[in-house]
Amino acid sequence: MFLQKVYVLDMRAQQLLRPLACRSLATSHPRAEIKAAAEEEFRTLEIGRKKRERFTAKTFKPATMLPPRYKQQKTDQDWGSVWPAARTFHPATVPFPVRQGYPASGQPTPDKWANAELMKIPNFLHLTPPVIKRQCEALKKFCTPWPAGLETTAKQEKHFPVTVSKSSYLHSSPTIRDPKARIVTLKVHLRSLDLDYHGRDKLLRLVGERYDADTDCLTLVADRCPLSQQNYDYCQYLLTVLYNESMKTEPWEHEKELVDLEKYVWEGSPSQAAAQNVVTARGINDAEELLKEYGQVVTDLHNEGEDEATVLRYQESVMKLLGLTDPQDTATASEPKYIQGEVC
Amino acid sequence: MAPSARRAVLLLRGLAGRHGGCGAALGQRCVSAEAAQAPPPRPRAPRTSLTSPVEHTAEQRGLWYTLQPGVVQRLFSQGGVPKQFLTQCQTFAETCLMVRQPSLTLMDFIRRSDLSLPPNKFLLYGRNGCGKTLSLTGSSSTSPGPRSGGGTSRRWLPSATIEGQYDHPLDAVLWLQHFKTQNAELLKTLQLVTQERYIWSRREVTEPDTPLGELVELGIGRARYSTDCVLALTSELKRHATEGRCKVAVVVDGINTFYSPVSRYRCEDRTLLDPKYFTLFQSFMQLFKSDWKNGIVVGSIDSLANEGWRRDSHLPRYLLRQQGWEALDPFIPIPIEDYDDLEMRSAIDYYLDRHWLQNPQAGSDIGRRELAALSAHNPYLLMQVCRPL
Repeated sequence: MFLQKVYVLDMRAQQLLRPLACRSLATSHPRAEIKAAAEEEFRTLEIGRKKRERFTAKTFKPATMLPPRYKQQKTDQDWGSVWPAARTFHPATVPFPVRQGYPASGQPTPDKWANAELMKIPNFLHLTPPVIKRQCEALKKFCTPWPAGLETTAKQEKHFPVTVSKSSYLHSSPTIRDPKARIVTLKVHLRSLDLDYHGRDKLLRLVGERYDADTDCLTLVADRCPLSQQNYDYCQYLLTVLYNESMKTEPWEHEKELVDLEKYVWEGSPSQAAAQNVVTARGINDAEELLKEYGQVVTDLHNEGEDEATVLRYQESVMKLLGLTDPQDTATASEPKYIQGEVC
Repeated sequence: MAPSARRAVLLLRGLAGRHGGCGAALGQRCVSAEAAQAPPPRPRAPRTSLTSPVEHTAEQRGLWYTLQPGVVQRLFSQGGVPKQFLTQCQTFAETCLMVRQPSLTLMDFIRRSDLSLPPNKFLLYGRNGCGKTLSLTGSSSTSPGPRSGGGTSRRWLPSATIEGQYDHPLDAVLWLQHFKTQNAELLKTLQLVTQERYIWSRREVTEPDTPLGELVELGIGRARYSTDCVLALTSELKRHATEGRCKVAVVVDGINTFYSPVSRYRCEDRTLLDPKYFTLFQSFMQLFKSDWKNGIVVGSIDSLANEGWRRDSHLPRYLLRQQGWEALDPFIPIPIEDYDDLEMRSAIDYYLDRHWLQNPQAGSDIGRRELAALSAHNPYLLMQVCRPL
C-alpha cells in the first residue's frame, strides 16, 4: 500500500534520495522506472550489453546480365561470319563445351569460362573447313593451273631441285618493315647434284652441319646482306662455289691420313693383316670368301656403329675364321637338374 | 603399384599385420593372410659336386660349385678378386661360384682351341655387375698361368735398363709374388730354364739355364729390377710355350687399361704419362701378340677400368679404343648378361641356404619377384639388395 502511493516527483531528487550504494546497481534509466512503476512489478536488472540488431551485409545483386551469345546462335549459322579472323578465345561466343587445363584435386578439368589457358593458346576457329573452302574458292580466280608434268614430288625434284624460301612481314606500327625479311633459305637434295664419291665427301666436309643426313638435304641460310635480293644472289653464289670446289681435287688432298678417313676401310688395315696371319697359320688355301666376309663384318662394326647385333656378327665371323664353329648346342640342352630349391 | 606388389613390399618390411592394413586401405579383401603367415620352407642351394669348371656341361647351368681351399688360396691371395666377394666368402665359410653360360662357352672354346696355332683371344664383356671378374676367376681356377689385374699402380720410376720407359717396382714385386704362389710347383715340375743372359748390373747377372723360379726370386728380392724381371719372365715363357714345353694361359681382368692413352702419373713437366712407356704393360702386351703358340688369352673388358669420361658403352670396340682393337683383333667377344630366371632362382636359393636372407618371406614367390625387380636381375645389385635383408 505504501508502494502504490509513491509517485514520481522529480527524477533527480529521487536519485539523490536513494542510498549511494544502490545507485550504481540500479538502473537509472527513467523509462525503466516508469515501466516498473506503471506495471507494479519488480525492476529488472539487465547486466551486459544490449543485444543490437544484427546488420546483414548488403547483398549487391549484379545487374541483370544478358544470356551468353551462343544461346542465341542457330545451329546452322554461318560460322565464318561469327569468327571471321584469328581472335582470342571467347567462351560466350563459342557454342560448344570445351575443357582445358590440369584439374585441381577432386575437381574436374577446368571449363571454358575464364580459362586463361584456352585464351593463351592460338586457336583455329577462324579456319574451319567450310571457311577454308570458301576462301579457296575466292582465291581460285587468281590462280593459274598447276603445271603439267609436275604432278609428283619426284618430278618436281627432278625439274626444280632447288627450293628458295623467304618470309615477308608487315607491321601495323610506325615502322612497317621487319629486318627478318632479308633472310633467304636455299634447300637442295644432294642426290640432285651430280657428284662423285670424292666430290660428295669434300662437299660434306665443307658444309658441315648444314647437311641433314636423314633427309639428304643441304640447307644454306643467308642473312649477311641488308636486302633479300642480295642474300638470294649470295646463296646462288655459295652453291656454285661449293659444287665447283667439290669437283676439284687439290694437290694437298693426297696427304689424307688414316685418322682423316670418313669411314672405316678394312683393306690395308691391321685387322686385315691379322686375319691374313690367322688364315696363313691355319693353312687354309681358299680363304678368299672367309676373309671377305670377315672384312665386311668388321667394316659394318665400325661404320654402322657398335651395338649388340654387330658385335654378335663379329663374334660369329671370328669363330669361323678361327675354326671354332661347332656350337655346343647349349640352347637345346636338357633342363639342369636341381638338388633342391624349387620356387614355392 | 599393383596391389599384389604393394602387399609384397609391405610384407617384406614387416608392416602388414594379420589382416593387412594395406588391404583395407586399397579396399580389397586380404588374400591368404594365413598363407603369408607361414613362411615357405628354406630351400637348399642347388649344388653340383664337380669342382672343376673343366668338367661342367650345360646340365650344370645354374648350379653352384665349391672351389677347393688350395685353389682359393692360390687365386685370392692375388687380389684380382673383388673385396666384397672375399668378405662374402668368409661369411659363408665357403667359396662358391655359379655355373653360367658364358663360362661354359669359354671352357668349350678353350677345349676346342688348336694350341699349335697362335693364341686365341677370348674377351668377356658386359654391363657392370654382370659377373665378368668372377667368370674369369672361375675359369682361371682351372688353369695355372700368369694373371694380372687392372692398372692401379702406385709408384713408378724411370726405367733402370731401358731408356725412356718407366718401371713399377712395387707392383712388379707383388705380381711376381702372386705368380710364384700360383705357378711355383709347375715351374719346378716342368723345369723351365732361362735361355738368355740377363745382366742386371755389373755384379748381378743371370746366366742362361737358370731355373725360372730363381728369376722370380730375384725379382721379388730386388725391387729395382723387378719390372725387368717380369719382362724377362714373360719373354721366356713365351719362348718356352712356342717351343712346346709348357702351355700358358694369360688371364687379364680389365684388359682395356693397357690401351688407355693417359695414366694417373705426371712427368716433371706436368704432362700426363702415356702408359705405352710402362715396361710392365709392355711385358704383358707382348703376350697378346700372335707370334707365339700353345697359349690362350682370356680377358675381361670392363668399363670401370676406363677413365670416367670413356664409360658410355659396355661394348668392346668402344672400350678398347683403336689401339686395343688393332692389338687384339681378331678376338672372340663373349657377352655376359644379367641373370635369367633360372639363375635368379638359383642365386636366391643359395642365399637362403647360407642363411643370408633372414626375412621369412624372402623365399616366397612374391619375395623372389620383388628381389628380381629391385635388382633388375643384375648379380651385383642382387648382392647389395640382399645385404640388409
